[in-house]
Amino acid sequence: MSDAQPSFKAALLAALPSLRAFALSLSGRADVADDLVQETVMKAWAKQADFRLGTNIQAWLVTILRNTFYSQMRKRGREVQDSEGTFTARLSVPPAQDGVLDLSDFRRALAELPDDQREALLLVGASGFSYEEAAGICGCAVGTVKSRVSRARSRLQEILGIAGASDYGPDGKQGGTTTWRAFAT
Amino acid sequence: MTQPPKPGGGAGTATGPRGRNGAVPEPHDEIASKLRALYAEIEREPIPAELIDLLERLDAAEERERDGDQP
Repeated sequence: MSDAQPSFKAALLAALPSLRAFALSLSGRADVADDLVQETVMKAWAKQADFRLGTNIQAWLVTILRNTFYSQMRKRGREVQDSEGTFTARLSVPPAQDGVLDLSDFRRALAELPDDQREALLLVGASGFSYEEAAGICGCAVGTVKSRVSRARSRLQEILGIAGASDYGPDGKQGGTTTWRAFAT
Repeated sequence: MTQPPKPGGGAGTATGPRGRNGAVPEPHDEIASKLRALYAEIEREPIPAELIDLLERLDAAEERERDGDQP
């Protein structure tokens, strides 16, 4: 036996379910997500010397994956991007009875967010990274991540018709007022 | 397409395990729990065979290389 290090392969394997969840939620498309994860695995394998076991492999993989995602998007000319928000009105999901949202409605709403906002929300709200880690992954300031997350949240509330009972976005007060106004009619 | 907005949610049917203290769930909680549910759903899926396959091939290739280096 050599220096009994847990294998890189095992660490990768353990990280895959969560990485897939991120890929699928970020891209919104199974085929794109599969490609992204495969490419990430190959890149990670090739660069495994850069990775120190014991450090956060999830953050490292997610960084590779999101960088790959954005460079692919740039190459493809952002075919599916909807910066105008034209889909938004059409796809707005009525609140389900009892305020219980269907997961597919939620998925659709998530897809309407701008990429950077969806990414930030996923990293912090689903992947479980801290704001600091998310900032490191995205290569931006912590404050930027916070405001993206908060905008993503209020946008989702709007789309999904969740009444904004309060707004405790990370920056304190910001955002939710428009939601309230929408309901005040 | 005009559904009357219901502020505070139609709390009539006290649904869900989420309403702690019987309170209407905070919207952020709702979003957070949906996010977790979304991930959980995907994470429950088996890892695609091609992906496992890819890892095996990468690993095998590396082993072959290593064996070649030092018999």
